[in-house]
Amino acid sequence: MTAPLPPDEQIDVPDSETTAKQASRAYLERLAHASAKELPPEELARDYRRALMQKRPNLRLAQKILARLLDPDDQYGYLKGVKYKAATWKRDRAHLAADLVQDTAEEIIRALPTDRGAYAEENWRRFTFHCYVKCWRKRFGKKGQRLMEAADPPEEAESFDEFVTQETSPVNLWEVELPPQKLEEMKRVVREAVEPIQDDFLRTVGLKLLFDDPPTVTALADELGVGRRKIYHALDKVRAKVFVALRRTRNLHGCDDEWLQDWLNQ
Amino acid sequence: MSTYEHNDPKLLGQLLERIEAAWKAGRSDSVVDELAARHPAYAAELYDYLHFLVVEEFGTGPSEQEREDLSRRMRTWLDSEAPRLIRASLTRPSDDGSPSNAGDSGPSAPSEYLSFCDMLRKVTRLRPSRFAEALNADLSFIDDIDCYPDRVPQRAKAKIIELSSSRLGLDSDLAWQTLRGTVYSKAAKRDDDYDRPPPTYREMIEHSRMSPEQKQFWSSFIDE
Repeated sequence: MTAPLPPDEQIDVPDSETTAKQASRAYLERLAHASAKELPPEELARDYRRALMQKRPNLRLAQKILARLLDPDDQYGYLKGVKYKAATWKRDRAHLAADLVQDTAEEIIRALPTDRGAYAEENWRRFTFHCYVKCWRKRFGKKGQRLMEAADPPEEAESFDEFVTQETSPVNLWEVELPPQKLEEMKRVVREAVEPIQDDFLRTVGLKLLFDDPPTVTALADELGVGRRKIYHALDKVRAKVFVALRRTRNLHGCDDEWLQDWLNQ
Repeated sequence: MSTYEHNDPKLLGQLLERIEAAWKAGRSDSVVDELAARHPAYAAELYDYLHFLVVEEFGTGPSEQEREDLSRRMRTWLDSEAPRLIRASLTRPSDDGSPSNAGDSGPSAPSEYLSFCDMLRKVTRLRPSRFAEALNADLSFIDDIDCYPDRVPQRAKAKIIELSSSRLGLDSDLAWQTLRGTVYSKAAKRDDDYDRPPPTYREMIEHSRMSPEQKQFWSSFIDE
């Protein structure tokens, strides 16, 4: 049995049900040393909310839990999805990705003690996704209408136009070295992944850029009357879907995982 | 065109759950098309979520250097702003209108009341650490002044108001008003036990993470 904390170190959690657990040294030990599997984020979110949503909120404990949930080193991977999704913006500007992660973390803190925060106890991944989307919308607009002006060109290029013209096609899916028959098989899989997409804009971008003689992103942006970043943003989603389809059918076309992953992350 | 035009978070949650379940079961991409066909208003978010799942597992994420930079930035941010954000999350309704559940557990600030920091934030639209910097202080010190204005010497208050007016454009009269709201600010923030004695001005300085020069500067306003 773990000894209780001495009075001056005791973490004040008046709620009778949680006091025994949360006020114990064992809980803090667990907070510090348990693996992500042993201490899933949903459980932490529940403890965090309990610490705050009682008559006398326990801010010290909440802060300790939050330090783990939003762990800057991300050794538990609780924010991996957010960080990896935000990282897809680094082609524009590295700190834009970092801004999105920080905005999301702030939104998580804001939302956790509210009704929306109850969702975090159920599914942390989806909760963080919602927070990310909310921050994304705040920054870029509900329909992505501020995508053009919100992100600056990368520092090495003098302008975003220059940055874009440096790229001919962002895709190059068909540069994969496969026998012609396998390549045809692969094209069929890609088409079957893109054609059923139920979002007109995503589907159009996919059909235009993933098949033979794709236009440049600039040309497609002009044709569709949108900013180029919007095309890239859509392409990321299409590429994710195609990646899943190609990976699932790799026995048919023989495209190797490593190549596919490079293609996804280009 | 990709839009997020719907208003049923519960249904969206169920749809995302199905995508996630299909993803876990067999790395499937076709469920998202089926769901988007049935619920076109949610299509953009559904494809967005598939992208989220895919890059979480197969993305390269930030580079090593970016990871280090992000880690440093997050640590600094958490140290300086998390305590304040946690308190703020308890005292304000979220911006989507849902109430804070802690609101029924104690006195809350009148809606017209704004703390000094709230006002700085509203006027400057800067992150708190930035306006603290402009005031030649750190956030914990400013926050303490905000919470316990009656423990702060008049001369120190006058100085901080002068700096917030000259450097950040805050109206001096309004600033004076915010630093008088001792009862509401302390009750609403609830960062300590109510029966714990409030810190003295000297303790506020000592407990802050200000530089020695900053501490010396603010110590010069301690009444003899």
